[in-house]
Amino acid sequence: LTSKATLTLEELDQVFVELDDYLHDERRAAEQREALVRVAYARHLETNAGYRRYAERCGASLDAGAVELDAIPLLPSALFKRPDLELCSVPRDEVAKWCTSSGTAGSKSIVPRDEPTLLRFLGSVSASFPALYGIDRGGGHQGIVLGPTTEDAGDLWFSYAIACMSLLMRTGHFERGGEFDLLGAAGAVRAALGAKKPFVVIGPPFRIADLCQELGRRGLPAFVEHSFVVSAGGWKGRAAETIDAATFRRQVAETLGAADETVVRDSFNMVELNTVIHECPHHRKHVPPWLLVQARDPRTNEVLPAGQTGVLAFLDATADSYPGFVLSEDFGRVLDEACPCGRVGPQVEIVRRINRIEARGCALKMASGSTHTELEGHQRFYASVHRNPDLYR
Amino acid sequence: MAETVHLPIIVNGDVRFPDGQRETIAIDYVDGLRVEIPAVTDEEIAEILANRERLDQLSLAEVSQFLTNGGTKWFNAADPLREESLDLCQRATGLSKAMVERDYWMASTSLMFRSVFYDLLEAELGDCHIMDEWVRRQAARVRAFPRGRALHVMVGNVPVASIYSLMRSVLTKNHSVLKLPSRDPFTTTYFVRALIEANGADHPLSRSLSVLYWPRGSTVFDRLVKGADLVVGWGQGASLEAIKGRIPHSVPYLEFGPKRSFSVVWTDGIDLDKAAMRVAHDVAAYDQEACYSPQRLFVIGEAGPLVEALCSWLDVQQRLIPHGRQSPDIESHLLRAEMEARYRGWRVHSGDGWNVIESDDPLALSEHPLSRTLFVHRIESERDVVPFIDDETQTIGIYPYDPHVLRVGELFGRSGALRVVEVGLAAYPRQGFTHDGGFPMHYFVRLVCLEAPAHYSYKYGAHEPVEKHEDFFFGASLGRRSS
Repeated sequence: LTSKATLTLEELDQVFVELDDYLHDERRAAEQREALVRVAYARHLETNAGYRRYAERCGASLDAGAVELDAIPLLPSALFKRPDLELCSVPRDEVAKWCTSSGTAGSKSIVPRDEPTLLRFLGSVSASFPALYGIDRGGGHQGIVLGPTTEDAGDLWFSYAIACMSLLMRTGHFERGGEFDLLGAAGAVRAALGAKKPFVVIGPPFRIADLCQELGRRGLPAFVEHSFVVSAGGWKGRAAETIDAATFRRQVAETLGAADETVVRDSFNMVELNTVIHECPHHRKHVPPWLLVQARDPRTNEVLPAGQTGVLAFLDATADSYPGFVLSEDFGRVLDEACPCGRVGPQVEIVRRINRIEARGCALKMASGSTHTELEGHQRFYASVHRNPDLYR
Repeated sequence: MAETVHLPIIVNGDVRFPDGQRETIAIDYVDGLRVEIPAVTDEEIAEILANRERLDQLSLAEVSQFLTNGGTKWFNAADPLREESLDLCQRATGLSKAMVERDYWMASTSLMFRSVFYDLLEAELGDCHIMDEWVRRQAARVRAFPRGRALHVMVGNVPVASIYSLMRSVLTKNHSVLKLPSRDPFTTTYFVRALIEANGADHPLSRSLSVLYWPRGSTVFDRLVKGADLVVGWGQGASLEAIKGRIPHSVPYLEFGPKRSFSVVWTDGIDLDKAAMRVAHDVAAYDQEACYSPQRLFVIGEAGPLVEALCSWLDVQQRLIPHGRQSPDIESHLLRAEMEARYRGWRVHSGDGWNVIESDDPLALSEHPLSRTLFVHRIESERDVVPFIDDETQTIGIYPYDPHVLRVGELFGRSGALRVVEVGLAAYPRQGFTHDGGFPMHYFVRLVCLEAPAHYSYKYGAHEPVEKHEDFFFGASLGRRSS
């Protein structure tokens, strides 16, 4: 493999098309995964001087064909929060979307995506959702998105990602101007149930919980087979209301009158990841063949054996405009056991977020923050780099 | 190995253990340690709020003796309460045993000498007698009366902080209701038990002490705050804001929130080894989780030899006060900081339980993993420190002290800093210190004044007392009826 190696959209498209086959052929998927990650590594060494220097400092081989996959340098996700770091692998004018996380000012990740990277994300969504849910693209499902449209989502990645359900089916979006239209969403669910039309609800768990509470106020028509409720993202500002995944699934299934909890599933994504990982009916998140997921020892950064809990690392071959080799802020496990659903290959289990530094003691966070947003306290009398970074750069 | 510890709550000095009947709350720690503590009942809240026993007639001598009796008991390393508390505290908080021992030693040596309290009151209220009697202040006599009932919401990262908060409350003759932190519910509980044992449960000050625990989302705070005359909050910003919004008007709120601290060393002509030793100690205390723990070291002059000495002294600190337990979360933060430093091309020195990261761009730093990690920045002058100072900057340690303190004290103080100390003394406040920019004792008392009457002559104007000017003040002539 030379450093000139690139991956064309067509090549990846073929992997997307054959995703279901890959999920049933472990050896082929593993080979494809390794090949794709190596190509991506070669590309970023070639196009991203900062990443190349980092790889050199890490002592990693610069030969993408020879490098140990475990030795490919990872970017801690926090680097995407640093306004002074340039992580682009493409010229800035080729960035189509500066995708942001939903963090507070000063802790927002900003991920540059060019058109090919966005197209690959959309391609992976179009492939993986039908593969895991058994839904035909363009079939009769109705999408009920508890978020805005892709246009209204702006740069907020989470909203954009769930809005992409519109690629797969006709969708209604129930957030306008940042306000969740709870009654509108409940009405859409009732209408779909009344019309006996299958539907997919997708949104963050707290909105799904609110929706269920609203739907539970009065009787619902019978559940429609092949309908799904998909949670994505965390409880965010409503962490105090968090309930465990099993209880959440049970409560949602009970509210909707579903026969079992297989219709309630979770999907995983983060702004630095160009792939959405979906659950099968057994609530296992199956890793597609363009993505390598590892659990890493939090102290040594070594890759842990299957089943052991560590910090999740993602090596995503679909990211062209930034190195998609990211050490996340989540603890989790990678499982390689056979899944009862019949699919093979690695599955990832998200355990929890890493506790924030602020949770420890009285030391105030040192964030210099982002220059793109206004920081808390920026209008107070005493200015500092912590409150007013723009004044000092 | 699994172990369940039954921790009591204390209601008006009455120690109440779980009895198998009442509801308990469980808190789980690592290595199978579980604490079960009674959930406070509505009746117990009512009991606490109904307790209006007056303490203002107790003399400062009696109050200080009460504290000293407890402090002396706490000083005794063989005391069973202290021993048990120390063991449980270090297991729950993850701090090393040596660090908790040092913490308890600091607390008890402050408390076991009555003179300390008199000095403290002198420093903060101007005159210790003001606690017992009317003290002349110009044309008034002033006396400090207790607020009434102080409700403290504690933190567990620095055990001595809870004891100090309680001491302020008792010294000023207030009733004290203490909300335990889940990280360390032991130190406060055992210390209050030590106070009660040392003084007797029938001592009026013993009867003024209540120690409770409630989990997040509980309504206990909202019920207690209705009977609070002062609220003292320690902790993270979000916790403090949550408290602030629930306090009725007219009830003062004293908060000790998170802060940033750092050190500045001028290396020209100094004993580098001594400077490094002191910096290392400030960094090591409480594994850098205290508000006064320096997170950065600014070096004016050559930095290399100082960094070299610092690494060596951080190893010494590891022997003196070993680093506490590191959770996977902490380990991950450390690893990330190291990876980011590598990305940026900064030099990282690592040892057993510490990291020193040399960064040529202090503005670029945006997250700090704590855990004895020091970012070292070489700068040209103290003016380069100013961008990092605002009024959330607590302690700035400087070394050497004498040639610089007044000059930089002015500069740093004007920029918002709250405390300048000699490097090495961040964890050891000197008598007369201000805490987060104030004298907290003022919050614990009502300063009542008896102002002089009109016939009292004071220094301004002519010798005549005010009553000679009845016309001017009161319009006496206008209302005088003709005879």
